[in-house]
Amino acid sequence: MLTIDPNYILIQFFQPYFYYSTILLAVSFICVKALAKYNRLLTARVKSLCYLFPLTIPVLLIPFASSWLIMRLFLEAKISSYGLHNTPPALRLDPHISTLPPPIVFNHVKLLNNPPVANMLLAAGLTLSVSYLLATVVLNGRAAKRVFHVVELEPEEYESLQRRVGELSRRLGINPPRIGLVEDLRPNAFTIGYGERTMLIFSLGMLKTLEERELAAVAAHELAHVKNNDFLFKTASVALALLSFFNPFAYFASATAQREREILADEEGARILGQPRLLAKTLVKIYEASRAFPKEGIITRLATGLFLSSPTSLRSMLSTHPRLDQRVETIRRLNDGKEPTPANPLLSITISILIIAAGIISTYYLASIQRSFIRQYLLTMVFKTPLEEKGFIPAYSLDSMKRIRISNFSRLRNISPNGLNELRPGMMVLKIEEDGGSSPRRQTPFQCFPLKA
Amino acid sequence: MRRGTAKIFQYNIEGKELQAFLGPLETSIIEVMWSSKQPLTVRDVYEKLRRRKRIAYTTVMTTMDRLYEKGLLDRRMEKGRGGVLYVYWPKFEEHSFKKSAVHEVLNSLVENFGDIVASYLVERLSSDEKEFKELKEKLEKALKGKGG
Repeated sequence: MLTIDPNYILIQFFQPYFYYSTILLAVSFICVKALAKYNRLLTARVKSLCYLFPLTIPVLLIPFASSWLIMRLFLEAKISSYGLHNTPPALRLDPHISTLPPPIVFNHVKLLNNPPVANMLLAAGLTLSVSYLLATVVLNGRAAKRVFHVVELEPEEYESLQRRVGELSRRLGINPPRIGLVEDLRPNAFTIGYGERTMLIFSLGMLKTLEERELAAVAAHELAHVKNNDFLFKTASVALALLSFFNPFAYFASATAQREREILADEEGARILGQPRLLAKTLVKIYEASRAFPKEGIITRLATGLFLSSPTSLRSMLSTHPRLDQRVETIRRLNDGKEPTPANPLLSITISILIIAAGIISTYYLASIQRSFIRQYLLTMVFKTPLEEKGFIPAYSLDSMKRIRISNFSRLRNISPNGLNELRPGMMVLKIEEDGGSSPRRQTPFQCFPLKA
Repeated sequence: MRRGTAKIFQYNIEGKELQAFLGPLETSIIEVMWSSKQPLTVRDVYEKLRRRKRIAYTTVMTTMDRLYEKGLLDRRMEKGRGGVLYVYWPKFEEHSFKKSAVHEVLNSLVENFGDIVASYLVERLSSDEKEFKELKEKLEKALKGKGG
C-alpha cells in the first residue's frame, strides 16, 4: 500500500523549483496588485501586461532549475528521491567506511514508494498548458464554436447589426469579423478566434434584450477586444495559469489580467462609439436582464465567460470581467473626460519602489525558510533511514546539532544528497550510536568520525 | 403530448395534406418535431432542416416562435449545452392534430354554410349507392343510440 509520510509532503513542497516558482508567483502577484492599485500612472494596458509577469515566473526559472551550479549557488541544494541505484557509491564501496557501525544506508523501499509529487504536478501543468495552447491556437476558435453551439449568421440575418459592426470595424481599422449567435437566453457577447477566423458572438438573450443601438455599443466593446488581440492575450494568460494549475494565485493573476483587458475594451469601445453614456447604460440594462436567470457556479462561469460578472468577492476574484459598478465608473469618467484625482508622479514612483522593496524582502525571507528546511532535511535524511529500520523516527534539527557542538558543522551543512558522492578525506560524517536508554531520542547521541580514503 | 383540440389559423385549399393547415416551413418543423422522441432546441431543428435545404437559423427560430404562439408547440427553459436555452416539443400527436384540424375546418363550414354543406354531402353521396347506404346505416345507428 502506498503510504505518504507527512514530512514527505513538506519535502516535495520545498523542492527548489517548485517552491520558488510557487512563492515568487504569489509574492509578485501581490506586488503587482498593490502597484496597480496605488500607482495611478499605470494604464489598463500596462496593468494587464504587468499581471502576466507573475505567471511567467515558472518559465523564467527553468534555466535556473536546469543548471546545477546556479542551484548550488543560489538555492543551496537540490533534493532528489533516492533509490537503490543512486545510493552514494562511496558509502557502499569504500572498505574503511563500510566498517563504520552502522553504515549510512537508505531505506530503499520506502523512498521508492514516495512518488515525486512536485515533479508530477509540474509535468501535469506543462501538459495542460501546452495542450490548451495547441488546441486554442491550432483550432482557432473551431473548438469553442462547437462547444458553445455557435451558429454563423447569414448576410441577410440581423442585417442592420451586421452593417453597424462593419462601420465600427472600419473606424477601428480592423477587418469586420464574422458574426454568430448562441442560443443562450442570458444576455452575453464574446469574441473567439483570431485573424480571419475571428467571430463576434451574441447570445439570443442579448439580441432579444437590447435595442439596435445598444447592440452596437456591445459590438464596439467586443471589436475593441479584436483590435487589442485579446483572444490571444486570454489564451496566453490561461496557458500560463495552467502551467501553475496547483497555485491559486495563478488563477487570480490570469483573471485579473483579463479584467484589465475588459476595462481597456470598455474605454476603447466607448471612444469608438462616441457615446460613452450609451455603453454604460447598456451595461446596466444587461445586468438587470441577467438577474432574471439563476446564478452559475464558478466553474461554469469560468468556462463560459459571461459578459458581466457577479459582484460577490470570491466570484469577482476569479471572474474574468470587472464588477459592473467599476465598469460604469470607468466609462463615466471617460465621458466626463477627467480623472477622479490627478495622479502624483512622485508619490506613485515612491509607492512603487516601496512595494517592490517589500516584495524583495518577503522573497528573501521565504527563501531563508526553504534554505533552513533543506539543511534540516538533508541531515535528517542521513540519520533517519538507518534508525527507521529499528523502529525509531528521530527528527533532528539544526538546533539539536548545535547543542552537541559538532566541530566541523559548517562543512556538513553543505552536503546535499548528491553531495554525498563527493565525500573526501578530511570531511566529517556523523555516526549514530545507541546506548540503550528509554527514549529513542536520548538513545542517539551524535559522534563525529573523520573520513579516510 | 396532449390530446386536445388544435386551433387552426388558416386553410389553404391548394396545400397538400398538412400544408393545407400550415405553411411549408411550419410543416417541415412540425414533422421534425414529431419524428423526434425528445424535446429539441431551435438549433437541433435547424441542423436537421439544413441537411435538406439552405435555410437561415433566424427563420427557423421565428417560425418555431410562431408555432409556439399558435399553440402547436410547447417549450420550457432548460440548462443545456451553451447556457440556458428553450427546448420545444409538439403539443399534439400527429394523428390527433390532423383529426382536430379537419374537425375545425368542417365545423367552421357547417356553422357558416350548414344547408349548403348538407346538400353537397347528399349530392355527392347519392352518386355512389354503396357509399350512400353505408352513411344511411351510420346515421340510423347514431339516431337510435341518441333516442334509446
